[in-house]
Amino acid sequence: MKTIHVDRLDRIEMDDGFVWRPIRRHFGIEAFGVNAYSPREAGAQVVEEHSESQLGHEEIYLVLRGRARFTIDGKEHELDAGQLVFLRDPALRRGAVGLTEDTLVLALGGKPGEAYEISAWETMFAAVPAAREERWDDAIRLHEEALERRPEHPALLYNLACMEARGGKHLDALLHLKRAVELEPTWAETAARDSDFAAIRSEPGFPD
Amino acid sequence: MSGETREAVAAEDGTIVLAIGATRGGVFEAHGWEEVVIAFAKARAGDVDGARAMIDALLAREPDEWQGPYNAACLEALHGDTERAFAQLARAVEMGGDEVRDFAPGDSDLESLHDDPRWQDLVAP
Repeated sequence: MKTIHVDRLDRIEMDDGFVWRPIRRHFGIEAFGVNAYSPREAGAQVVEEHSESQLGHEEIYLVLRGRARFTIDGKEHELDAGQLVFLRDPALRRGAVGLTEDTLVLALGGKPGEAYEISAWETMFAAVPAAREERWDDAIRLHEEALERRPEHPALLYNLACMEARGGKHLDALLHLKRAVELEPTWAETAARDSDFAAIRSEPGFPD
Repeated sequence: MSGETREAVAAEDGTIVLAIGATRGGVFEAHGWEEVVIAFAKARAGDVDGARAMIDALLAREPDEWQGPYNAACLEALHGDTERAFAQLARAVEMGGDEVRDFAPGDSDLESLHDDPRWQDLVAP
């Protein structure tokens, strides 16, 4: 049994203006997805604009503190602390802005009829501080740990290749990028434009 | 650990606790306990027939779980229909065996059945 106040969880600031408070990762929960988010400042993003089309998750958000303005399928909804919003349709685009600095939103999700799997985006989010500080070995280690559980996950392989390319491990980057593209060919187009691969784009074996 | 018991007391009015749970590696399925709680609340509010209808629907949907007839027995025992209570408890014991025999003696919902000779026959080891 473990307890912690949500304000004592890691604060991982994302470029979109929201701060990820990694609840699932903190406790090592494997049965369901749960995280909290706060805005960097009043008026900033608190839930990034996204859909769940790729993961197929149903999602529910609970405003724990403050006030948030959700935009769901183009419509705005202001929610006070204690209010919940549930989204069954994974295709709906959703996002929210924290209207007060102390806004805190809990997010839960899962795919009906399937056992929960840890989402790959968590690793990518967790690696953001290391990447921002160019601690490439730390960023690479986080991806390698995630790949031990899901060795053939194309997005994880792709992002590992990004970190390796930035960290000077060019051969590893090419190998992992090649494997990511074999598993998910659409990554080739993304890689062609991705500045992370600037150093290896002209190397033989870079995916077309 | 799945064996850890847990409960909490609200230390002040207005307390609200969100609970989230699932089985690691398993597909989440909504379980009948939610309907049991609602059914018992209905019965406490005087709508015993409405409560029975909910429990009957649960029994039809989950016919292989001893918890269904067990909860039906509790409902009937709490609301005075001893015959129905024993009929449901007998089904629960038939399905759940020792698990039910171990659990039932400590369940205050079934206290009204304790003095009936059928109680000893069903629940006593």
